[in-house]
Amino acid sequence: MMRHLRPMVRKEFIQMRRDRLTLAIMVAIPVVQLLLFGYAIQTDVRHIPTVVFDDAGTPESRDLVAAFENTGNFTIVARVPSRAAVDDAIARGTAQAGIIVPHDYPQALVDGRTALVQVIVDAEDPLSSQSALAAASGVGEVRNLGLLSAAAGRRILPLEVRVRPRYNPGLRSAVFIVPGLVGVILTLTLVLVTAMAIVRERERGTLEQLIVTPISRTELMIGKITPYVAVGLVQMTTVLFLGRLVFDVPLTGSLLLLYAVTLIFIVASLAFGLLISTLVKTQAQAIQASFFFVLPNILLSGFMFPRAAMPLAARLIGLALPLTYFLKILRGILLKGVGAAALWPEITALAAFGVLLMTLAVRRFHKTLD
Amino acid sequence: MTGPADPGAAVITRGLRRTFGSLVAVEHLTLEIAAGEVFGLLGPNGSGKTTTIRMLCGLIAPTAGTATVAGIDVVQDPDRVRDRIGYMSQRFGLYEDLTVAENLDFYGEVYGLRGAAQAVRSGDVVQFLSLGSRLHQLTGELSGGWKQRVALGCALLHRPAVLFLDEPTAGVDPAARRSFWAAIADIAARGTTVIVTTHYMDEAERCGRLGMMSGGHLIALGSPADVARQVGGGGTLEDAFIRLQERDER
Repeated sequence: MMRHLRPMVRKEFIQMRRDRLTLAIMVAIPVVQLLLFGYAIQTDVRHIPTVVFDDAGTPESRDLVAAFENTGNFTIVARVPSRAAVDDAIARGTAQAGIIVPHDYPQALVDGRTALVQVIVDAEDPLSSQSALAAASGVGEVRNLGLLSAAAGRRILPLEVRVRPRYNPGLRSAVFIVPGLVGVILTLTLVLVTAMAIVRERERGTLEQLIVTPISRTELMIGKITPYVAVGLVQMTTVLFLGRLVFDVPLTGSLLLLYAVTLIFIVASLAFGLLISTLVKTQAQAIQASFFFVLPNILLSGFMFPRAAMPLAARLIGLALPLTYFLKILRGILLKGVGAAALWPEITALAAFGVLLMTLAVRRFHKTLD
Repeated sequence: MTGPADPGAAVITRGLRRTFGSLVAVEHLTLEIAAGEVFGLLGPNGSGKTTTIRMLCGLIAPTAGTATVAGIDVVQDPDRVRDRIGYMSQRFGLYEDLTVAENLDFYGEVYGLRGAAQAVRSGDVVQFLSLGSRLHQLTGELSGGWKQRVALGCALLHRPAVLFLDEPTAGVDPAARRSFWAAIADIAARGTTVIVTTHYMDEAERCGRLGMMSGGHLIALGSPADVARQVGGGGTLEDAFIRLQERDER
């Protein structure tokens, strides 16, 4: 039944090899994206440039400022002579935080009054201000605890909460982003290249010559996507390898399972591209349709923004995207090391997407010109 | 044309009709083409030649009527006819980023040829059309005349019973056209039925029989001389054609 598949696959491989630019882009995309996302997306904001107005200028106040600096979240870039200078530095953007220690700070400590220390944070970007806010209150609590227990004459703390961040103990964003990047890159490149596949043959006039031959539409479709399955696997390997090498992203679980599930995801993505290809009339439309599809994938799948924080409608749209399920699988296998037993609902969903999309694409494509 | 059809005929159509929305592209087309004929479809642009060929190849479905090609009902069973026909579309349809040899290999295999059989057929075609010196050139780099020869070669590999050529010599220089038509004569001499559309009069004269189309209708049928007489009113075939063209464009 599949006797016409071989020439089709071979033809696609030859054409892919001759189109050097596209091939180079498909290989370069994983590398460039990995470095961009891995380095640029740092949700763990550290070393915020900070100015200090220490109006007391005593050993106690210097000690307090040092405590802020020791968290690693604040980097003192300047000491300024007034409150207005702090505001000015933040407004002009030379600093994103300011610490103001009032002149009565040491005296208040001695008197047993509440000493007021102010931390001003530029909260324009909620993400980067959050860690500054958390670190600032942390410094206050630790100080309070020390002062209180000293006053009470106790050396042992009454309570300690131990938090253990599992699976990404360093809380590094690269560990979170890189596994997801495998899914995003596969979606981005594979949907686009296959969306162009059929419509390109139509535009160049080669489809007409092809559909008078005995090749079946299933053979034609499978032949079209086969070379890109290989491309997808190469892209994934590149991201995982470089992710490990450059960002030290763990590969905890079964690689065999990972490749098997990725294969399903690749087929689903390619089938979706083919479906687009049967719906549009020109390559330009195919590109637009692909981007229309790719953007919600990046925003709503949980790649960068947590799905739990999204409104219901956005969560529901996310459920209709294969990438949402694939991301859970990727992170599950790579970071948590879980097996197929824990991931079967997601794997089943992916397989269902693959079968559904491929069936739709083949049905949409008729071996006629009208 | 309503008598009993010759069961051995290459093409038999009865009341073939095709509309595109409100446009009637082909209507009441009843035609019989014997095996081994070189049959020319002649007519101005938009007269329905290409639509007719596409219906006979199973590329578009007729709105009404029946068509049998090489003994197979193309309306009922368009997939089964594909092994038995060769087709060259009006627009060059081979892969320009493949070499001549790669195109020949691809089409040979897609038509089910393998191994030694494929090598023999391919060798025949290369020799017949003198493609040997071009085999490893990218198809997109060839001149119009050579492209058409390669396309003809790809359409012949599986030795089709009926060969459809839709304006095969459009944009080809006169010398290449002449050698192309010499090839068509050879192909027909080997028993393949050739159905060709054209609007070059010298080419029409080379056909065994002609069907003249105008506005979707077959308006004359017979030898080139017969057709000239039927529509020309005493003039030449070219006079008849130009008169038709002017009438259709009005």
